[in-house]
Amino acid sequence: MPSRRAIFSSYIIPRESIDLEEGVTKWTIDGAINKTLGSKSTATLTGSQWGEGWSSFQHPEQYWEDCGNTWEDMGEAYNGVLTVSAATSLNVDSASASTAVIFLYVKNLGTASTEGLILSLDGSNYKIYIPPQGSVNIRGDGSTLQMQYVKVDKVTDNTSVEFIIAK
Amino acid sequence: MAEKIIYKNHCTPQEQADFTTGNDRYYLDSDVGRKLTGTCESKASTTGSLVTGTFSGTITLSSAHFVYIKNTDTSGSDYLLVNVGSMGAVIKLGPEESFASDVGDALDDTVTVVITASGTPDYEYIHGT
Repeated sequence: MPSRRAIFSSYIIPRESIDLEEGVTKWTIDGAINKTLGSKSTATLTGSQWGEGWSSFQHPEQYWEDCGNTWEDMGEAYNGVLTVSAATSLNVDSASASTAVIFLYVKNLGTASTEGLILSLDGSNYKIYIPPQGSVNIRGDGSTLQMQYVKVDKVTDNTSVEFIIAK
Repeated sequence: MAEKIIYKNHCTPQEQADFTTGNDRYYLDSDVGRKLTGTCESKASTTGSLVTGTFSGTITLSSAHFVYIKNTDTSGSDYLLVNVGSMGAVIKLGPEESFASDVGDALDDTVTVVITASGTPDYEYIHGT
């Protein structure tokens, strides 16, 4: 298996508005912060991941030797997109449920304002909010954050996600 | 005057190809097939101010809609741990790593974010409300 890594970065633009004379609003960098913020780093991942479902871009049972169910009955993603209509675990392999998460990326593919997504890191409390078209990068602590605890849920309307959940 | 925060999180997954000549290189991970990115406007209506310092004790950010937290050390092994809404201190930030996200379980929900550390890393954060 190849070595793997994830290069991840964040870019934050704090802005404030200025109202011109005739009611035109202009946005500029927030004067109190006066710069953009962010970072770039690399997470070293295990070459042999917990299964093909470590990213939403491969079906977890795309190979016959992994199959235990009828393919068309599976709810997991197989084309890069996972629909979220209720609380949904991003790890579908019971054998790796207790494996530590090294790196997690989740994007909310929803577009409407009612298609917000919430993310849980303890399996029961959903306290990270991902707006439509937003995403989040998380490096796990290496022990307490386990595969079984990473779940997503909709806020109001159904939405969909793309993700990487890697050990 | 109004305030808002635009934020983006990018990810480039890569796999290493082992050449017999030893010139091992990383390529875009073939399991994923492309770079990943998300851009959105935060639900926070104020940006807060940029706070910088050297970690000396637990930092508590209450009533947060958005947080950006960065370990501004450039090397070493000191790291920050971020606990969002009592989900556990499970987000680790090594040198030059950051976490940027809206928090809460709905548009109008806010949570408390607690920052602890191993060692005494330098940090910066903004706390959108």
